[in-house]
Amino acid sequence: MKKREENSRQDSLNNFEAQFKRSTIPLLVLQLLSEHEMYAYEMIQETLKRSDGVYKMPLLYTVLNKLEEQGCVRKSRQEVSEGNRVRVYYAITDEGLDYLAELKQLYALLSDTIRTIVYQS
Amino acid sequence: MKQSERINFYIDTYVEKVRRELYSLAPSEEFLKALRETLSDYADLNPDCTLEDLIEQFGPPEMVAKDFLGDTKELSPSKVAKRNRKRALIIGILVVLLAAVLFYCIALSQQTQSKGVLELNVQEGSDVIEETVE
Repeated sequence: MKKREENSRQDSLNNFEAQFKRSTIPLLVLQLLSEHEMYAYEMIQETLKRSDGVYKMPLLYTVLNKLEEQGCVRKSRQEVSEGNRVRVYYAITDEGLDYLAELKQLYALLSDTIRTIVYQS
Repeated sequence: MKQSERINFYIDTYVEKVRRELYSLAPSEEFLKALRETLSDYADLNPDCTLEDLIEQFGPPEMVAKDFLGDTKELSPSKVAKRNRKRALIIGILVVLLAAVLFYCIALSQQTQSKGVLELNVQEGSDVIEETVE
């Protein structure tokens, strides 16, 4: 019984993490691309490095597709890698920069609110 | 086994596991291609990686498949409802056609039976005539 409760709690925590990442990945992707163009795995690596291994990004296929449909990013160039594979680089658009600014504002507001309620009360 | 062959084997295994977890519920060739490319990029920087390392880095295949299916438009409620309606319509048409064919076969069979009785009667009638003539 206790083990089942522990498993259920762990599932909830995992779900919380997954939902949090689902919400914040577009923000991170746009932030990285606002610095310079990157390919998908490069973004995953860079986020891992900057977060000291804390933020492990999932695959970016659907996020990049959605941002491309929204006009926030575009495929900027293709490059043949060492393994003879085609690497697709993405760049942010002007609409993407505007959206990034809005996202940053919203994230700052929401995270400050959560911090106030959870940690300072 | 060479290192490159070993890594390709792990990548193929991982991609295949994800493919199976998709249950062909949505078009996914582009997604699996992108998955393979990302795994290969990871393997380029981690040439000693194992299948377990791939799972550790990118998550269990069933989770990867679940995330993709969760985000794909193909499984949006409106699309699923439309697909179900189309399927119901096709099944309805097939049932009607099957019923029509069945009734036609029954009618044909009954027609053949009654034609056979008529011929028998005619035959019996001509025997009677012949007997009378003789």
